[in-house]
Amino acid sequence: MAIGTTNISLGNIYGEVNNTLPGGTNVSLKTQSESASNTGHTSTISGYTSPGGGLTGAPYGMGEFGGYVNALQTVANQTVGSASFAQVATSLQNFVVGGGDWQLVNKSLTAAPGQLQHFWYIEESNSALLGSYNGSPMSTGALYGWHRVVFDSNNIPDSYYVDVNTTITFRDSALQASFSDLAGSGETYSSGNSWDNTVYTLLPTSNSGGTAFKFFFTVNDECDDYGVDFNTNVKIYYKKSGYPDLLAVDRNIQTELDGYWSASICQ
Amino acid sequence: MDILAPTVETNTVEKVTFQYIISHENWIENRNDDGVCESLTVRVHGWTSEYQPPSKTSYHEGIEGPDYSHDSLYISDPFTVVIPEELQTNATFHNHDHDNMDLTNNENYSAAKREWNKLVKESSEYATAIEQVKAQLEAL
Repeated sequence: MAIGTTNISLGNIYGEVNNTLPGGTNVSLKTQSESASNTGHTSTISGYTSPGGGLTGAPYGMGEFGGYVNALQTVANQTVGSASFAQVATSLQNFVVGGGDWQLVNKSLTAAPGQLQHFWYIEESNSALLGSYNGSPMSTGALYGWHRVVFDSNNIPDSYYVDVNTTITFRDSALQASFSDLAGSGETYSSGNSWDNTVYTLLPTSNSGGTAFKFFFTVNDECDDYGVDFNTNVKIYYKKSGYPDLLAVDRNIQTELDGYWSASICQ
Repeated sequence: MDILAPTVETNTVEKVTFQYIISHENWIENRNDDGVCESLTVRVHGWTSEYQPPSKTSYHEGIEGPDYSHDSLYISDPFTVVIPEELQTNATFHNHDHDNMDLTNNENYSAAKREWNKLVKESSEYATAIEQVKAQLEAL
């Protein structure tokens, strides 16, 4: 929680700088000033001038922490595009079987000198699930812009992780339906299997190779139709020493699977 | 072959998946004296990956799966979906009775059920019912 502009206490400064509860003992203002990670902070106290220039220079002042928040800062954090996926499977056998996968891919790119733009793409990884991007059909294997998060040179994270949660709505129940986080493919780097909440090194802009994360869905039913909607919530966090994790992306992606049992006689 | 992306740490987080079920196995088909289905009484049933109904075994290949014909503890209020006359039928689900498979009945029921599912999803009560069950599951 950001420090206010009145009644600033050493205890509150300690809590914010150290990402903990307000408090501490024998708190040194000089130590807190020198430990503050958000070195780009400027006091929000009206008319306040920091004689030392920013947080770290002497003499140290309580007022320099006016409005201070210990959060990793972004230059830009915005949606680039949106996609959803669908499939209609038909079967003349006893079982109707469906499913497939799509991928998220990220690359470390340069947006402006010194900045790191972590660009996320979405991909229809094969023709099993047909993608729709901003309302238009996707081409298999092509990367479509999904989200971008830009950091300046003072705030480039060390690492990141993807936290995925899936909700399943059975419009017409199935025998089985599942989601798996599998190794991405087709890029320089793969996430490996079971990537949910695994912390990955944020590659520098000098390495623009993509890292792929695969979202895999399966469904089947016996002698009956199914209609299953997977709502996949994707949260992307960035980590940097001295800061709490930054939740930069919190978005949903829909995957709609329909299966038609066309045999009409169970053998 | 793709190179494994460099990792800092591997975290194993057990996830609970919410499931919302609408099924012909537990909706009520309100039929007239001629057996024609004129409306459905629907409830959304909520399950989670940790709280599942008893399993059933498929009739072929012995595949196990949750039996969603069971009622969950977490259900929405019932709502009624009126079926327009052109989508009504007296066909019934085959219920996996292999000795009494009726091709025409099964074709008619499948065709009608696809339309009924659309009616349920498009009904004004559907989203409310999902939210009602979601609130129950989130409170677990």
